[in-house]
Amino acid sequence: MPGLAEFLPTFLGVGILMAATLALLLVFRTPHPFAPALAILRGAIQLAAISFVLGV
Amino acid sequence: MITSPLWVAVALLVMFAVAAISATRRIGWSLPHLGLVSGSMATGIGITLAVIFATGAIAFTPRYALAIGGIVIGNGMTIAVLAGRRFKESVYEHWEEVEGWLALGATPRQATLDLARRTVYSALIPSTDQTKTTGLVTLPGAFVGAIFGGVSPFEAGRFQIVVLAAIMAAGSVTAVMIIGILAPVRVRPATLR
Repeated sequence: MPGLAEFLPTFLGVGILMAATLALLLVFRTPHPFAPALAILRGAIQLAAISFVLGV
Repeated sequence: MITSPLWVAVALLVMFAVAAISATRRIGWSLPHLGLVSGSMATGIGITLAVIFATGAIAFTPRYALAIGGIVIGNGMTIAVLAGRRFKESVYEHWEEVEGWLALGATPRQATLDLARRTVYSALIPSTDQTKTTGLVTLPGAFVGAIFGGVSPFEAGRFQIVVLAAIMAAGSVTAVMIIGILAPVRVRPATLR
């Protein structure tokens, strides 16, 4: 299993993209601006769980 | 060919051109619309890919550029079509309301502002739900493909998470730009085919 440090660039990139999405939707004042960012977070957790199950 | 930066760039350009033309046809073909769709998609996709490669989230190699570029272009096209069509349909359906705002002295942008905001939200719903249910309802294609290609599940999961974030970011930029530019409406739009 890879170390946490190897995933830092991924966290950084995904974090910037999430923040950009959220900021844009907040500025444009769309309904439910947090929905896409929360969906990415939830999808990431579910994918991490599946990857862990398949990888061990 | 897949390792040649030149051929990968050509492939991505062809993908982008076909996606932009297809999306423009759905919104209503015209050169200004083609410029609008191309510009919006290029901005969203360009910013997203720049963040991904600059942060090192995915290595900047021709193989990865082709894979993630193709996925983001395809999803950007879908979101562009949903945003453009839904906005035109909303304005058509709510024309009396829009006309009422205009009669009261609102600017064309103000008259459709609420419709524009709701359209951006609607255009992002399929991608949001697909992202939210990843791994519960379906296993995404990039994830399965990477595993079939011999990559470890951790590496495949890492790639897929970046793909999901990239789709949402590129889609948000594309939808907001398209709607932001289409929003000032002075006449009732024609019905779409």
